[in-house]
Amino acid sequence: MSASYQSILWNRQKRIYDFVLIGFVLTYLVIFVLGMLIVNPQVTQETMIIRSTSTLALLLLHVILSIGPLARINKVFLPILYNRRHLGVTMFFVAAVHGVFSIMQFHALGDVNPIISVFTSNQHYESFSKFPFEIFGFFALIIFFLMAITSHDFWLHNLGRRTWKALHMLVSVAYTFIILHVLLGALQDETSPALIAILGVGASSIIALHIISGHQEHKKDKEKHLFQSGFLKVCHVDAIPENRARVLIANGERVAVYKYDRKISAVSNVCKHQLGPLGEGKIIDGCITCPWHGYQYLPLNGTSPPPFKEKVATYDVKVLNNEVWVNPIPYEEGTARMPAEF
Amino acid sequence: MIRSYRSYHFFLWRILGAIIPLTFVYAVLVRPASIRQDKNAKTELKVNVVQQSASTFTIEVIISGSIPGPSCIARQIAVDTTVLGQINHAGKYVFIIPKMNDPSIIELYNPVQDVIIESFKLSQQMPTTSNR
Repeated sequence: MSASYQSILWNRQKRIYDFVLIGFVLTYLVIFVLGMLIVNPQVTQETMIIRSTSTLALLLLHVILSIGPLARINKVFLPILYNRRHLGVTMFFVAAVHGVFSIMQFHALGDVNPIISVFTSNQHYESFSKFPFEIFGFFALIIFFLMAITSHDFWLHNLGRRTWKALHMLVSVAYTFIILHVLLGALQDETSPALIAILGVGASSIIALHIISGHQEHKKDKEKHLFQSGFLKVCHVDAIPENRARVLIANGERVAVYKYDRKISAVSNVCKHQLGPLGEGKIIDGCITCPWHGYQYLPLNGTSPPPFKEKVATYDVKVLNNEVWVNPIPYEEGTARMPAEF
Repeated sequence: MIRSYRSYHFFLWRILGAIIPLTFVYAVLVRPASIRQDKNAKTELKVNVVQQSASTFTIEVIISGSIPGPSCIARQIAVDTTVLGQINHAGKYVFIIPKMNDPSIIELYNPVQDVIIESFKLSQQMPTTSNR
């Protein structure tokens, strides 16, 4: 969260995150190269680079795609979500090394432009097993590139949150391309069932996690609340932990109902940064704090503390017989509403 | 996320949950037969001379079993070494090769690992459609 753009807003957590990430990447590459030298000492350096970066990028992509649903299923995983974009950019660089070396090795030695060669060297477009798998990797890399260059908040702000989010949700399309790239490429010549099994387990896990978490969220969206005198019943005040929230479905969208200092306030559940779930955060230093990247809002009026300018919608709240009720009609973003006291 | 994105996201992954496993199974099933076989299965080379003229042999190279290694070429070893062609899969390949004064050898060779996979001796006196 910053009032002006900086290339990276470093803090201790990000440094630790990146230190662990770089350490993992280097350790993986060293172990892979040593393993290949033992198993297959005749392998060329180019092949070693192509294989090590392909497997590493595939592994990182699986980790990246697991983080979102895991964090929704269990809050223990939220700290990994915090700096996921650095993980994504790292994965792009590793995948780019694989792509560039592959094109150099297999397509740059003829008299055809290497990029054109990717599309024309194998023309079995009618065949499934002989399909030019390289083009799936090529298009996936284009999506990863667009995601990596627009990962900074500068682009989030300038593209608009909806466009930015839609662009970054293309990762699932890129993942499908990558699975096809591997299935129709490396695995067509792979004799070991172990590698096929590993990819199968990876893909099944990603799909299962997304479907399970999606189903949970879908179920939450279908929750019905008692409606009386223009207010929706949320729960008993004791059911909301101090400095935490309960989430209510109002007119199809979610509302975060926070309890703090014997008061109750309600704001939109959608963070203005990356549409994170404010209701899954907590109150820190008097501010509702988004669990994804730490964006903060005052519970009284839904505005970020100065000098920040983000605002979310607020709602009227009342407490009757220790039951919390919320008016489902939102006020304009940043409108101050008196909290209900109990 | 807002509700429309959540719905889109859930819908998309349910679609992918059907497409990816089906594609996966199909892609494994349609792999070339030589790959699906046991990688330890021995490569077998059979050479038939299907036609000969005064100066050339037309030979039929039949390869069964899996091809070990990342690359395989067929070559003729005589006074000089002549690469006949690239072998990608088990199957039947036809090559026209010159007759030599001395017997020559037809080899399946893995150039990446510098390994001779199989070899076959070819001589002037070979009858047409002979087997190894």
